[in-house]
Amino acid sequence: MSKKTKSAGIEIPTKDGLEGFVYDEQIVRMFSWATVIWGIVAFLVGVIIAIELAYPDASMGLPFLSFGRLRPLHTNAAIFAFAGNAVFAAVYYSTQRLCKARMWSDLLSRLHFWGWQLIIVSAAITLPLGITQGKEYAELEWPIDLAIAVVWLVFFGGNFMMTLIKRRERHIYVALWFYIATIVTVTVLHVFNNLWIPAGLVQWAKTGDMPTMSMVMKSYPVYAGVQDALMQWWYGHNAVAFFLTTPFLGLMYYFLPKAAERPVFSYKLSIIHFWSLVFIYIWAGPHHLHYTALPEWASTLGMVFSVMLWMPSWGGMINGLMTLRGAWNRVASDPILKFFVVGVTFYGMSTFEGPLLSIKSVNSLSHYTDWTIAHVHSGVLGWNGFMTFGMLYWMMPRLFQTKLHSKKLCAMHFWLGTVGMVLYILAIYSAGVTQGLMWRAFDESGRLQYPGFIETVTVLIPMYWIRVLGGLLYLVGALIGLYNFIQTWRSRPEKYEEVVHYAAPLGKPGKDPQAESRLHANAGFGHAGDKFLQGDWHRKLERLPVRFTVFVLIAIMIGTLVEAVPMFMVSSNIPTIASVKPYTPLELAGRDIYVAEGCYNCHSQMIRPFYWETTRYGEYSKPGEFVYDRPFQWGSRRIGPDLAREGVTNPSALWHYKHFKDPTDITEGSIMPKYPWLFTQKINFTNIQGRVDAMAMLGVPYGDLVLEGAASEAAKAQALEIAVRLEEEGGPAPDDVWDTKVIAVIAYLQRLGTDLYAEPDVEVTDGEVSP
Amino acid sequence: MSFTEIVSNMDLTVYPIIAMVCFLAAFGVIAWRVFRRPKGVITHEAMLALDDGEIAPMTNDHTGKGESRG
Repeated sequence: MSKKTKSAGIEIPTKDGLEGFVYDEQIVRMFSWATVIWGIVAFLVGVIIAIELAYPDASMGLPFLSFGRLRPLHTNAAIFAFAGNAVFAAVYYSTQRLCKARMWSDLLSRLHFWGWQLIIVSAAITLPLGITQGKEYAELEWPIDLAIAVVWLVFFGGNFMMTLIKRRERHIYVALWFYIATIVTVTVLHVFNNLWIPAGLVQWAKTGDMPTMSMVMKSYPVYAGVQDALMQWWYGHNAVAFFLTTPFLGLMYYFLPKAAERPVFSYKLSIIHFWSLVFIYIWAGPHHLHYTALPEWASTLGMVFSVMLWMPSWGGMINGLMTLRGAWNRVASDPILKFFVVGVTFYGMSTFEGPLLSIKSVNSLSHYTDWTIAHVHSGVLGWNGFMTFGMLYWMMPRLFQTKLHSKKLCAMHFWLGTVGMVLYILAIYSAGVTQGLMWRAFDESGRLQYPGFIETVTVLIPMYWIRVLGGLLYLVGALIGLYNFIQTWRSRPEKYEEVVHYAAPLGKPGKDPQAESRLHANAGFGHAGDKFLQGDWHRKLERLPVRFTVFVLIAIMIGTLVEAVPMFMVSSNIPTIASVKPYTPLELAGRDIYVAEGCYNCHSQMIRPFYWETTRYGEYSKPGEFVYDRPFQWGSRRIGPDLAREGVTNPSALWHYKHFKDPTDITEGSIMPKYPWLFTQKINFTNIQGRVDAMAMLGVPYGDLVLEGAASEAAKAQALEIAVRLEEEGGPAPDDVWDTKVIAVIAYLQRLGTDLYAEPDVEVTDGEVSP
Repeated sequence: MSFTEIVSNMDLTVYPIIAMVCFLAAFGVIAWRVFRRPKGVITHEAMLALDDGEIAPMTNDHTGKGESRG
């Protein structure tokens, strides 16, 4: 009687000593559909917020449609829903084939799929409600963070690693190395950037009263100010590296040879590409913080490694394009290859531009402008988007065991997407360079040539409309893709044929031929050295997934620790300023509203030490000013002006009151949305006590304000003070406004940047800087 | 002397240079190793993406069931 192997619960007889197995195609189909559907959602929200920039009234005064709340939904949907599901579809399809094994657990695969979709739905609900941690690409609040950790590491990572361990192919193909790096690094990034204290739980533990839902979801990071900024951009940059780059390189190394029907141009180059990228990428994060309050050594370190990224990135890009050697004639007629070629080309463009933008002198012009936005869109729409669509067009007919419905529609999708992208990024490049040059322009008398920030905004409106058009074309292309996939699916067979694959079971690595010494010397050390140099150890390493994973972990942790340890241990990195005090309870509540409304999406709070910035905004920002900022709110973009010294340059309560009601009343041509809900929604003074208590747990010296009800009472007193001052300036009666949210936000804005000019309460001690 | 003091007293401006030298050393070792790899091994490894294994369509005799339309 022949032996049998079990695959998907089905017993399959062995054949000539080979084990039979079937692949789990259904999970690939599920992730593929999710990719297309969430992609369209991400593109649609992108078009909506692009329209809002050119025509702010498009948000109709509705809080959940405002730019600040929708922009995180757009970025999260594009990264984690569209690109994320594409990565999973690619991993489940290619891993099974490269390992010659079905995924280890169908149950874990399904838990992964449904868990991930639930996380996306949670994001789609909470972000428009203003439930956010206020850190770019890490906005999701703590319960969702916990769900991500479980779904990513246990369901996805566990299933993937067990499949590698149980594989039937000795060598682990390079695409799988990129997947390993993705799983390991994203886990490390996610965990260390999401260490927080849930404020609602602190309140509940202290009082026993159940907090409101928004308070239950609220958390504060354990890091503050400069340290929070370093951690966030270590995370933010490497989310691009290990969520949007390494898994897509794995995808490229598997699907491009498939589509071109020839092996990768140079497998050797792919190995160098892998190790160089994994080692270098993790160091580059600080380039997002040039000329900020981040210490200079960290900033330079980030720049040096960013420039070095040119080598492996372009090595990989050339490797991808050269894989098409001898097949270029097919590119003209095959739209799938067109998607791949343009995708890889955009990888080359983005990875040229990234290091360029990391060079300090270039960054001084580009930072906070739309140039960065153009850069990320060329990466996500061009590289991630087109690699994904290329993969889907190649894979969908195979998954549905039929032919693609229409090659013409596929070509139409390609051209609409390409033209849309070109329109989009050219308009936004122009907008970015225009902004950067206008901000730094001085006239003949040495004064700012464009002193009103609004002048640098209104000039961009035509470019914003071109951007809308470009985004619409990309969206229409994706809708055509969806139609093509649905029609392809409709022509599937009544029952999918399950194909049995056969492969020999894997023997133990120790049985492989061992390297022989090539030396004639009689020294044992010499023979051992020569065997080492022949590289058996590395080939063995490549076959041992767990050990290989440990090596990847070591490679990424070197860069992480070298940057993080001095940042957290060297006290001189953040000189304390004696006059900097914690926010009052009302200011803290106002700050939380600022975070919830996503103001950081349009306003920075970081004045760089450039003459054109200090002339426009005031004294440059100091590291010690941010020691109580949880989360930091430096921002990465200036659609509106910097607010770091708002309390110094613009202290009027009435100005802010009117500005929130209708920004165009104050500044003609302003594209800031109106915030009518801030005038009707009440401040929850009970919750303020919980916020202060949570901050106190993190070491903020709140003294007696942690006593029961003390913070709430202090907040009420300050709210009344501001309401009275508002009336004195010609505003409404205090009774009408004192307990509305706008008062809390005004309190926060009036405080911004003022500590530097305040008198310290105590004598200045060693290590502190007098203001 | 505590670790914090040691780190605080270091001249961190040399960090980027040390880091770059470390990387170039690692890069050199990896490149050297890769280009000494036997050609036959490399060719086999590169072909893996195109190798879906020996296949045979499953008949209902094997399973008594097929995957449903989904």
